[in-house]
Amino acid sequence: MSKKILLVEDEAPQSHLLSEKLKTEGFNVLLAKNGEEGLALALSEHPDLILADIIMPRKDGISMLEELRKDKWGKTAKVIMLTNLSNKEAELLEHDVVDFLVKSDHTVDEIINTVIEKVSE
Amino acid sequence: MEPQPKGIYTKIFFGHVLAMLMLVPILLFYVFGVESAQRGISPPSFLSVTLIYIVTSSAIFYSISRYISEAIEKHSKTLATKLSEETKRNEELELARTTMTELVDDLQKKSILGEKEQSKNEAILSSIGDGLIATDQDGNILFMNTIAEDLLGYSSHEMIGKPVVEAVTVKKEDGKDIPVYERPTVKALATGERIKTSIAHCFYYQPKKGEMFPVSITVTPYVLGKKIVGSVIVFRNIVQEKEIDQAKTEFVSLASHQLRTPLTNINWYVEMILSGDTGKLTKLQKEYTEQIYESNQHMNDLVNALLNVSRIELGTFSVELSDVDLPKLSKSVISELTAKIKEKKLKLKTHFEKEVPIMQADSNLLRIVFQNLTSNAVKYTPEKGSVDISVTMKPLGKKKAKKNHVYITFKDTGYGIPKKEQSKIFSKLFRADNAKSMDVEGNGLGLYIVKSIVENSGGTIYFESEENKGTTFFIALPLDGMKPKEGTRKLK
Repeated sequence: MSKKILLVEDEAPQSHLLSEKLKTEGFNVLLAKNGEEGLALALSEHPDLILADIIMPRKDGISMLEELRKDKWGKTAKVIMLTNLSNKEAELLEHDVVDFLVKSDHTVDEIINTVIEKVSE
Repeated sequence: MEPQPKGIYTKIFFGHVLAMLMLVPILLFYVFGVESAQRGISPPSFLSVTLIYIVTSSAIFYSISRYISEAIEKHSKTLATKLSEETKRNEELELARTTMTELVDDLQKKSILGEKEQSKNEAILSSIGDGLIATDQDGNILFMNTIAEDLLGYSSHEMIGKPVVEAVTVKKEDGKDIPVYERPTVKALATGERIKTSIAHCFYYQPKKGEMFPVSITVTPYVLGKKIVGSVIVFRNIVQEKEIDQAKTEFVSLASHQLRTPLTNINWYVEMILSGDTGKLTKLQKEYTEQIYESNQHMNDLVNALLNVSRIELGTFSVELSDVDLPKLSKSVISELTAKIKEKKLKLKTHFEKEVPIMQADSNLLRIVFQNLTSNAVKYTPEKGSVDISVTMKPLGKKKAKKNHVYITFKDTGYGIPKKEQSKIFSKLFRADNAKSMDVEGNGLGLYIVKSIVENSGGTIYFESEENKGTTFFIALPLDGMKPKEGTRKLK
């Protein structure tokens, strides 16, 4: 059975491209446009990995992560934060994310490869 | 009233005595003569009596006058000596009096000047816009100006004489007191060095009433001979600067995010096209798409460089120490530029001394230094030129070797920096005319960032350059120069 990836991203072009690429790699992709939708989907679907942006409307990625960590399942869920803010690393380490990627520093392939690597760890 | 000179007075007194003694026999003789005539005494008897009287009185008179003369002479000599001594003493007294008068005049003049100087200094100290406190060598308050009084809410009378560490409460942003040994005044008095706090890591003063406020503090110890005799604390409320600083940081952070988002979209989609995911491209389509990709990369680099500049200027970049192997770091940077080096057929030589130790530094920051100087050498050297990079324990330039320093040199046979523009080369956004005209990509921020990093690490950087012959950058870095610093952001 293919692994389930939850992609939480408000930027449509990026969400579209990443989900297409992930699907090509054989993942089952769930999409959310903000932290609120992301948290609800995560808690109901228990994906194998969450790939989440930080700056999003309604609920940002860090608030979503904080609430996720309060949940029994969410406490140990694998999360990769994906953002163009380069100053959140220290804050994110406190929430035990498996990786933190600055979008503009990485190609799409690099991001997909990180997902493949981390989901099977 | 003038005092009666004693010597003269004595002389006159003895002169009168002598005259009286001479007058007495004449008077007696006259009385005796008149008496004899009246009694009818005969002239011979009168003459003999007279003669006996004259001889007797002359003898008596002679003895008396001689005795008196000798006494007068002796006394006169004593008087003369005393008079001479007296005159000398008077002269000395006069000299002393004149000297004293001059001294008093002088002191009066100096005192007026001193008072003028003091009131001038007080006026200056009181009128400067910053709070000012002066302390003695033990940190006891000697003076505070009115701005300091206003800012702290205490009057000079309440503060003078008290130790500044007790009289002024200094806190951290979280409201906790700063330990005494971390207080700028204590540090300045202990080390003799000027201590200055930065906006990014400022302290807070707690006034008598009201809330604590952020301050910029500069403490300058003052030295007499070789001894520290006190300190001058100058401080100002920087609450507005902090607010602006915060707004600027947030703006930069947000702007960088907003700028990077469309750049990321372009980047990723162009990558997909170039990788053939959307079908095969013609040669021309590929060439044009590559052009879009490269330009987008430059834009991304520019955003990153601008972010770095703002972090340097705000002092908010972090320094995280780890083991750094400079030759390894240099090789890694060179490998990223291999394609460009090959394309331009450049001869690249490296000289890494085995003695170069692993140093404690921030590898990200040193990578920025190596990236900028290596890529500059590659960019600004024409085809078939050469680039030499060395990491050694002795300087290759003209400067003398310093203890515990590592020397990094980037030498190229490139276009060089025109002489008239050499002084501006480390300025922000500056690009030399020849670099601009050659259509070489650059944003004028690299060397500014490099210099800031090197100097923040306690190092020095300089260069030698000749147009159309080449440029050499020399860096001296102390092996233990970088100090860990908590910042909000990393430089990338």
